[in-house]
Amino acid sequence: MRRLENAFWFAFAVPTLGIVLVLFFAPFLYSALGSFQSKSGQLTLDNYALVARLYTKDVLYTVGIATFSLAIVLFIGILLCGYLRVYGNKLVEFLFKIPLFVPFVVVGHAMRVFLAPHGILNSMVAQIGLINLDNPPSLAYSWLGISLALAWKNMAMAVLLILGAFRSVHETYLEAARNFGAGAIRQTLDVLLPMSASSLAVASVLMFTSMLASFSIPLMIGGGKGAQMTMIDVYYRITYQGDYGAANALGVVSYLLASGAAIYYLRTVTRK
Amino acid sequence: MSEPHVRLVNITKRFGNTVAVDNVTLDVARGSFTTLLGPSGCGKTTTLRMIAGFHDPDAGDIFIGERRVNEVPSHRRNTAMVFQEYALFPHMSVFENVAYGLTIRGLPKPQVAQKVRATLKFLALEGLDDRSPHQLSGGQQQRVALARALVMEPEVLLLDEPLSNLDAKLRVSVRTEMTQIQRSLKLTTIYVTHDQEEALAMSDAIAVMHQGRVVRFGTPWEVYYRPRDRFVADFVGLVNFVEGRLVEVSPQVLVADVAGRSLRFAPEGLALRPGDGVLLSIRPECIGISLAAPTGAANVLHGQVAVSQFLGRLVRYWVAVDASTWVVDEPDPSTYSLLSGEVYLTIEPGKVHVIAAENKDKDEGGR
Ligand SMILES: Nc1ncnc2c1ncn2[C@@H]1O[C@H](COP(=O)(O)OP(=O)(O)OP(=O)(O)O)[C@@H](O)[C@H]1O
Ligand SMILES: [Mg+2]
Repeated sequence: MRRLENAFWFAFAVPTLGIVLVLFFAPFLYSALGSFQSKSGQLTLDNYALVARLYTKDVLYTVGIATFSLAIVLFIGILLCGYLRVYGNKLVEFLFKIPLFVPFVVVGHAMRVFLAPHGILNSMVAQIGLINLDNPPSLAYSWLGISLALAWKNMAMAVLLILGAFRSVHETYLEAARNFGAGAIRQTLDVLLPMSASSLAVASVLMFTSMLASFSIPLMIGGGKGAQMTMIDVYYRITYQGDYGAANALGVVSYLLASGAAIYYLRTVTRK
Repeated sequence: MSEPHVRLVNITKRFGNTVAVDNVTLDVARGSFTTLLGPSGCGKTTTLRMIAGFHDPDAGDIFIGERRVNEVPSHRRNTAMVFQEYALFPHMSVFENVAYGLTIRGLPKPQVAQKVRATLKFLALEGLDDRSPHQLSGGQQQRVALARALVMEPEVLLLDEPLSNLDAKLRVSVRTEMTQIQRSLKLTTIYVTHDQEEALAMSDAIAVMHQGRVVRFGTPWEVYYRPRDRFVADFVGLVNFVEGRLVEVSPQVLVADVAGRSLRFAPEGLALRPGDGVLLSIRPECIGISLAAPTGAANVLHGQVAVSQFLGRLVRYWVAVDASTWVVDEPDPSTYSLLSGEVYLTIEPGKVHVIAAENKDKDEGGR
């Protein structure tokens, strides 16, 4: 009986496992292997040498931008969700979820219009006479512009995930804190945040990974000169140089960064 | 008793269509241990939470001392609440949990540490400072929750079924402990429970609640022996209900006709007239039981033992008298094997309580 049941589950699992292996692991392994091969197919570390020589700065730039955007998103997201959890505001909650339904490219474009040298933001600031439009500073075409656009786009996901985590903290804990005189910010920082730390860590890793791998936003807002985010490098390596080996190596580096972030967060959470 | 400390005046609270608390008026005496007792859903927690400031009443006023506190936020009411599930912060140590309120109040660190230490010592929690709540037993968690409330030196302590998560034996020892603590601090305490034994054992005053209303408010003795209400008599302990019609009324004694037998009882200062219908209650422990016919007793019933149960400290008999069954508790367990078959029941007039009377002229129940 037991045997039969096991056989049944096995038969049931095999096709699923097969699909997972073929669709997810095979391409991944294939590209990872590709990063260790030269154009003629020999095993080599040349691709990594090239990445180290040309792209070290870009990798650091990418990590910097992702970290900075994540910091913005978490800072705003945690305070906002704390407010929403403690007081509740359906309208604000809805407004912050809108970016969820806006595609990356549209965000990129909107941000470009908004942040450009003669864009909306600068026009507004010039109106109050803070800057001179003849020689305008620009947030677009800079790391700050990319970070802000990424933060804007990820905000909705952050609100969804953080608010979900905060809502799973039982009301009596907040009441206990309120009874002692804790306001919304203290309830958030002292109770909600530590009690949903593990969910927040997972959410952070998710957002960090998606920021590392962002492509359309840096493509549309990033400057043409200077450092680039790695996915842009991957794109150029493939479309203009046909260099799959180096592109794969960049991919593996991104993967290691993402899993590094995951391991770091899981460590800090499980240590508590 | 002494002056009221917490006063509820015509408090009502609705949740949508449910009236959770219905026009409750209650005076809680200063320094007293007052219990809100009632079945699940009767509005005990809602009442307590309105005093704590977690719910606003839809109507009525709440006073703490001279001060009307309806619009005062929870932490300015000088109340401290102990929750049913304790709500100890799982990410903080015992020390941090107890210190939390004082830290928020902005007390300097050394003072916080000193007060927390003193409170932990008072509640015999020394040495557990660095433990996390999940490393504590249920009883210890309960004491930490109490410590967290007491360290704030509240004017009024609010407790919502704080013992319900403990096993039966621990519950009895912790309740004795809590009564001692409350007596030593003379701290006005409002306690919520659905356990009548707990309420009787711990309280100075009990407010019995039913469907959002306070149906009886008095000392444990009054609530138990003078329930004045069919629900209260039934909810608090076991009771025999008897319906009858008054046949004789004098200042010393009332006589009712109960299914063809007469039952004599004390007037309790009630204005009753012959012909009035009465609902009487008699506690099982107030009825004597014997094999031999008693002499000189005011009320004697003759019946047949239907069932008997040995309950350790007493024996409970169900005795059939004519068409009705009486529950009788005999405090001497050695009678268990001796009493059976035909028995005599005796009832002292002073042990019969009039729950409700119905005037024969007006067809209206007057309670
Ligand atoms: N937040 C709420 N929203 C809607 N209805 C509520 C809410 N709180 C309580 N009620 C309702 O109000 C009534 C009284 O509830 P309350 O919690 O005060 O009862 P209780 O006497 O404490 O019962 P228990 O012994 O089960 O804790 C119940 O019918 C309950 O369903
Ligand atoms: Mg309750």
